[in-house]
Amino acid sequence: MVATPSPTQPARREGEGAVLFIRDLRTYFYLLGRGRFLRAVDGVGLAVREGETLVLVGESGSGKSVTLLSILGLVTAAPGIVSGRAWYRRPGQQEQVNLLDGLEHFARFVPGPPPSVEKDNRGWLRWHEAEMRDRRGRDFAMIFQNPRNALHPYFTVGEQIREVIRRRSPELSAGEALAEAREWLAKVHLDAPAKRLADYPHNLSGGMCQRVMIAMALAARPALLIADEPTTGLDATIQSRVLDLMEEMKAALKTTTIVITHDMGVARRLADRVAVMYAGRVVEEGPAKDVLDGRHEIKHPYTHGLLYAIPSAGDIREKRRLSVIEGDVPDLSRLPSGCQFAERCGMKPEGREHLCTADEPGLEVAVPGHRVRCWRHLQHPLDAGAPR
Amino acid sequence: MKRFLETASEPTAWQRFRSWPLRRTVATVFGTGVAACVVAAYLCSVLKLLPKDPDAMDLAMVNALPDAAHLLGTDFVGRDLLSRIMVGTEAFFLPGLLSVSVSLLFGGLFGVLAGFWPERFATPVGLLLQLMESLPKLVLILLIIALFRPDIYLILLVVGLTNIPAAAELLRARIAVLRRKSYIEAAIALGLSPSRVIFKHVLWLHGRGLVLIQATIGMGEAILIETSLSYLGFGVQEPTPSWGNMVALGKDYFFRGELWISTVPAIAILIAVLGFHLLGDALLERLEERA
Amino acid sequence: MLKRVGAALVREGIRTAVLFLLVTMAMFGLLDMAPGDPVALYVNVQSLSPDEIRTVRHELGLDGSLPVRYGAWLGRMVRGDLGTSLRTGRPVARELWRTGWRTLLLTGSAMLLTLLFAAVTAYLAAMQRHPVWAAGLTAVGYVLSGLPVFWLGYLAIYIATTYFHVLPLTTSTEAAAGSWSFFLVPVVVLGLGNGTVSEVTRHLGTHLKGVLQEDYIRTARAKGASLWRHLYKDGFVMPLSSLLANKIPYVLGGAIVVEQVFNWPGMGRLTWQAASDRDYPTLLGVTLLAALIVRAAHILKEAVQVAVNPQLAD
Repeated sequence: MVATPSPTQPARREGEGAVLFIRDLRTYFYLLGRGRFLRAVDGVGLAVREGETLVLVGESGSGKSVTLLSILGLVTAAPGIVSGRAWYRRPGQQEQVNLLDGLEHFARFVPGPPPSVEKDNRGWLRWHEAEMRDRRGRDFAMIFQNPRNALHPYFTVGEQIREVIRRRSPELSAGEALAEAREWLAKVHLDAPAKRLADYPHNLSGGMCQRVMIAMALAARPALLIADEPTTGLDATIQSRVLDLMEEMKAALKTTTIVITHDMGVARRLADRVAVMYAGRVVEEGPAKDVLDGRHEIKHPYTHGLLYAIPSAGDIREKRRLSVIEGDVPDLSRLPSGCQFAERCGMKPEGREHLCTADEPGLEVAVPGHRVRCWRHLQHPLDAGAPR
Repeated sequence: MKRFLETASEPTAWQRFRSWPLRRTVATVFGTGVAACVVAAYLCSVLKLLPKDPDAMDLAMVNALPDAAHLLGTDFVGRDLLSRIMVGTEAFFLPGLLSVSVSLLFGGLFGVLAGFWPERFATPVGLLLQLMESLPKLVLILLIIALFRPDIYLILLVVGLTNIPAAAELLRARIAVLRRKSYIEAAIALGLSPSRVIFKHVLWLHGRGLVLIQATIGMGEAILIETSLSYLGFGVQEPTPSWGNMVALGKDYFFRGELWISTVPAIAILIAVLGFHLLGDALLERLEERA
Repeated sequence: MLKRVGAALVREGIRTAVLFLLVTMAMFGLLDMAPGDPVALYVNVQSLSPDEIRTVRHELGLDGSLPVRYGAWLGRMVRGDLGTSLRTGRPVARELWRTGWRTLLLTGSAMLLTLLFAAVTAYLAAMQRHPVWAAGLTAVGYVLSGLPVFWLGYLAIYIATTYFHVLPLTTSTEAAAGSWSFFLVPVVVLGLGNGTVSEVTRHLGTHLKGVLQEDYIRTARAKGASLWRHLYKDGFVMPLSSLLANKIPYVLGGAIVVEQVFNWPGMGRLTWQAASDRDYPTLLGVTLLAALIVRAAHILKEAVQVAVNPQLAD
């Protein structure tokens, strides 16, 4: 396991020099009706380096959105974040700051059994808000799914972008900021940008709204751009165009980006690095080529399933049966012991299947730069002795 | 600091009840208690099971504060206030039920019509609703009192009629939401007859909550209207007690500093209306949560 | 934006005309259903000879069929002739004009107070920032909604006269009507005691909680923008304008009681007197004016909502 860093020094190893380095984040929700925790994020560690685009892939409910939202302080349900660190370094600067500093005064997590959490959620949110309020819209900018709903229905497009610009550069006048807003709309290839400034979101199509959101996020000139399912909710052809735009922006601006998606196609087009999440944990993480193309034959069975679920042109032509991942997404309030994916896994290591249900593998380095959470590719302490 | 503990097994119904927010528990318990007391008081009054004769005057014990003999004290001619309060429920109870029944029956009918055939019925129902909402009820009631007669049953019948569009709209909105959820379409496509779908799935499952809510709110409204009318002198007349005319009669003594006679019936109104309101709101909350 | 509002006003004007017709038809229907000689609804039959009665009946068009009677009645009304009060002999229209303003002032101010109380309470509850205050105010709201407004009036008078030594509020003279305290106490009593406070608070609270869950609020937060700026239109202006239009009938009804308690020389007290004296023309006039006031509130609501929400243009 990774050595526990001392609280005053930022961690070395994978997190070194990262713009955002998340360590051991846990975000739980409490289900009153059932008296159980919903473990939305259950020990997640991620890092994204300067200029890099990390794509976080996973099904609905895998915890990929909640991870980023809880760090930004946008998650208010109780208990919320119960443990973890989030080291942030503004590009161009040396110093790393823990965005979740002070959490230990507001939250105490006892893994149990039985698991229990003591949390002063209201106090934590007030404390965290003080840290994050200034950073949102300046250091961090977000793009959301369903852009027509994500834009405010009562303000014009121009007003909404201008708000971001003036926050970033308060010395600009209203007119100057609006002019810059028009430039951004042109940069995202929105036709007739001057006219669009006076339009309301309901006057625009979904694809156009997403371009507006992208323009609005980029206009903040953020250190880290977070795109939460940017293509979800859009028509297929529009999705492709939005991805074109994002690729173009990536090449032109080189903004550090985290993209959250369930669509492997998005990962293929945008990722420098990929992290795959399942049941609130990262199960595989590495360079895009390694994870998506399987250069080293290292692959988590879940990633394998996701990739092979996409039919090829040949498959479609021949009308072959789609390959699916058997089983269902686990109930996040009743997670099994051992590997979370075990009951759906068709690729258990021969002769060592018992390990999968006995112990949960850690997210370990299988090959430098590529980590995986699977007994197929990792050594278990008991491997040396006789199998059980 | 709040403590969250994971339990080993499914929580029981009692534990789930314990986990309700305090406000909702208080509201439900209090509201149900009040409703029970009102019904009990009404029944006792009708069956003449009163602690004292409500009309018996005792000029020796005028304006008395509560004591062993008179649990709520006496009024300005020595009549027992507790008994008079209990008899006061007769003034609004049955008329209130009438009002609620009328608005539920016809409201339900129009609501179903407007919900399942909105092309034909939504506009007229909407228009009727606007019409009903345009007139203050008290003004309409006074008009009717002047034109016809000050009969509390007639009045609350009219109130019931004026509530029909609101009840219909509530049901119509519920149905519209359900239809969008397309399981009604699915049920009909599977071969269930439309009327069965309406009665079993829509009305029984979802209507129950709405009926209770309308009943509680309607009863609360009936109390306020009846007491206001009696206060103004148009409802129940002396010596028959109504909570409204009891407050009015105590007026002169109130300004002299003897607050009790007017305050007892006012508190009765408060508790009754509050109870019904709280119960209705708690039910509405539960209904909205399930949605 | 002005174009939107203008179009909305035109639309509402048409709807008002339609409703006006419907209301008058309903009123007339009631009149017609009433027992007794219809002439008695317009003139004091005791003071007239049978010949005079017959003349009046002919003049008023009461000897014709139902549509004729309705038409004659409607025609008179549109020309501003609402009849003469059976009690005072003065034209109803003039009485309404004189008293209507006072009631409008009382009701309007009271309504604003209700909305203010509800807005503060709902905001505190939804933002979960001062839970004790939110709970306390909510409880106070519930109690106020259950207490009968006439008793609250008595209590207010008692406190005002005993502890603040304000002039005895139950005497009413036109002169006293100008003083502040005379105005303030009934407004507070009607504003807080009209029975709608808890409902308005609850509606507003539910609505606010809903708006706080909206996607665009999340975007606003993620942008670091001012939450209030993004919240107040959808969270406050829209629901408050709806609630104002929907609840004003109740406050008008409450005004009848409050004006009685405080002897306030407004339309409400006029209504009560008219009901006691079977002064039908005045009662009818009041009903119509009340309907008109409510409709005006709805039109105001439409104008405000269309101005704020650009999606309502169609």
